[in-house]
Amino acid sequence: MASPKVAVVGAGVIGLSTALCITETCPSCSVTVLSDQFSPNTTSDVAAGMLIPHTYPDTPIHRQKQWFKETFTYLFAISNSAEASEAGIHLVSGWQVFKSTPKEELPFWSDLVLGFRPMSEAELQKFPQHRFGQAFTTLKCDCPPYLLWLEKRLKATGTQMFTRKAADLWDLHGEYDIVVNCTGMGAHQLVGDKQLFPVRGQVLKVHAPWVKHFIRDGDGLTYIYPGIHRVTLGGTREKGSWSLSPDPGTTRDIFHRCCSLEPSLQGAQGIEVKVGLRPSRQCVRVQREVLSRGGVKLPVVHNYGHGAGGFSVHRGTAKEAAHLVGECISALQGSLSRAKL
Amino acid sequence: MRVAIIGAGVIGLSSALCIHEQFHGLVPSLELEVYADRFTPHTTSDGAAGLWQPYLSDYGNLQETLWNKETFDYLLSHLHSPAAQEMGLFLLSGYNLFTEPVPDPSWKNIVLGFRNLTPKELELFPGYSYGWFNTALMLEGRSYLPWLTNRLTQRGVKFFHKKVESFQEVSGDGVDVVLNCSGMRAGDLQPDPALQPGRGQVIKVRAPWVKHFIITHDLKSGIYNSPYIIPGSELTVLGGIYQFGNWSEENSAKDHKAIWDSCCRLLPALQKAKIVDEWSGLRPARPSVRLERESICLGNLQAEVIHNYGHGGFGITIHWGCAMAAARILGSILQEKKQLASPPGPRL
Repeated sequence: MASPKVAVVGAGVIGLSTALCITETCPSCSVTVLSDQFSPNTTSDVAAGMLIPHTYPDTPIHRQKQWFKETFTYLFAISNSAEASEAGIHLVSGWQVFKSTPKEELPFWSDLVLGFRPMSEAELQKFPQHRFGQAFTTLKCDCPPYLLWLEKRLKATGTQMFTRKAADLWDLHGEYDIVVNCTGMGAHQLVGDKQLFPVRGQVLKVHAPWVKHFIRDGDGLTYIYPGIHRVTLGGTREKGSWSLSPDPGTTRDIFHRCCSLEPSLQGAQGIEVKVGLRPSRQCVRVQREVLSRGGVKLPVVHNYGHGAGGFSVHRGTAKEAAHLVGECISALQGSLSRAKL
Repeated sequence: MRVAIIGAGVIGLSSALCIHEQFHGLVPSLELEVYADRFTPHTTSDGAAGLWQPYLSDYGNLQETLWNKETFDYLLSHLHSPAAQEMGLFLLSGYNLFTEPVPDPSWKNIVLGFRNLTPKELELFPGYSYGWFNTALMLEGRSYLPWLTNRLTQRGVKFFHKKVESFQEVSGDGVDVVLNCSGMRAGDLQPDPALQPGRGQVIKVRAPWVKHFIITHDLKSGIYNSPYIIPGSELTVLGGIYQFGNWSEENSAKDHKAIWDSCCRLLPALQKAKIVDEWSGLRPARPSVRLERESICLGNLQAEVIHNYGHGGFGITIHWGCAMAAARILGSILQEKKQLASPPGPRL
């Protein structure tokens, strides 16, 4: 197989980073990205893009840690380079605060972010309703810049990108040798994965350029994440809600909660409200599958179900998916040579 | 009781506000007047980035360390007030970088979360092998000075745009106390060979992805002669010039190149930042701040002068502690003149 044709379905952070990893591990592959949405209309564009991992209940911790480490290392290098501003990657410091001391004082990722330590009494005085906190420095991927930067890198490798809605993975058979499914929430319908469910998140993006730190309540519901031009205020975690319409009552509630954490936000300007559906699953599905129909086979690599933690593990899962694509190619080449005998 | 303040930078305006807050209720006849040849945005304070950070060493001057602490605590207490944004006040964290280990600074327990840098953090800064991380405060002169001006105007303080040539000029006019906050040009009012310019130049860029201050130190070349990057609410300040004895307020192309090249080496992404402005100013450098009372005989009149100048590159850092000290001196003067029954409030 001289030039395997790989279709990556999905153009959010998972689709684009997976496509890029495939071009890196398999330079002879011809990669095409297909999606019904591109930046700025993907779920990734709504997210703040903070590198603070979400814990998946059914994925082994060492695997999640490896994914995060690879992602952090990759982005750390970009943040330190001349491309940082174009890629939208920047360091940000701040605090995670808890109203009551958490069961786990050290999250699994504490040694992977920078300078992780408990907050001092003096620092906690800024948060009178909270009794415990952690200070650290991590990375943020601003979207659309990061997605546009990935698209630019992909185009430079000759990868083509098309707006197209795949109703069925089999639609791509014949045109492509391998299909990579990075459809996020779309996998619910595309592959009928009933273990995948939406967790609705509403956020506000405001102009408050004096806010230089992130603040996150340990309950994960209230957070303030300063981006390059706007600060993301969140949020909600509505399990099972499919609604993409902003809710005004929720907007007021988010604003109120964030102002409690950071009173200066009262002066924030230009509030934009956005909604995204986190493609949630008990474990991220990074898996190879061979679909079969009427004697015809279609190799598929799945990479979806990242829920609230897409940005934190995207590069790690993309590399694993690219590796699985490599396995698909070997299997195809194996069966081709057997066919020749 | 007329008090004239000479100078409308951070020192003059904050001293005026501190004095008015403390004494206007106790001394009904108190009238404050501010005289200056330059007002915001043309003062030295307007050019500074506005980061609260003293020099690395206080050289044993514990009084200045105390004034720094008083200022930090005062500002911190205003952080959650509705005025904070208008004042240009916000928290900012960042890095101090060195090429060798150094002793902890006098202010390590004043700022928040002071700690040494980890090896992984130092990977961000090739060429630097040691450093600190801490959370400090920003007080942007471009916002703070107008805020002070508004508060003073509301309180009925009068402003006069003129260059005062001598103390007699204001004291002869019936002013009882003169507060000398003339910064760099204090020598024009009274020769002071200890006061010398510490010329600085800065480039202001649009780089909103920078969320930390980064201050490098070269112990051989001295303070502020090594690149620094300080993100403000709108623009990021690039600097690293300290020329002792240079009175020029003109931007130098050579200094521009030195700042630009060294800051871009420190943070490569700055190469893509748009340059918006450039500015040079003179830090009023002195071995120690001159904060003291002087009785000046002018003919048959005696004028009381309170000097409050020579704050070098740490004016914003120390301003409120000095304002309160100046107010205490005024309190003594008012007592002597029987304007006050007893000093107002607890001694700090």
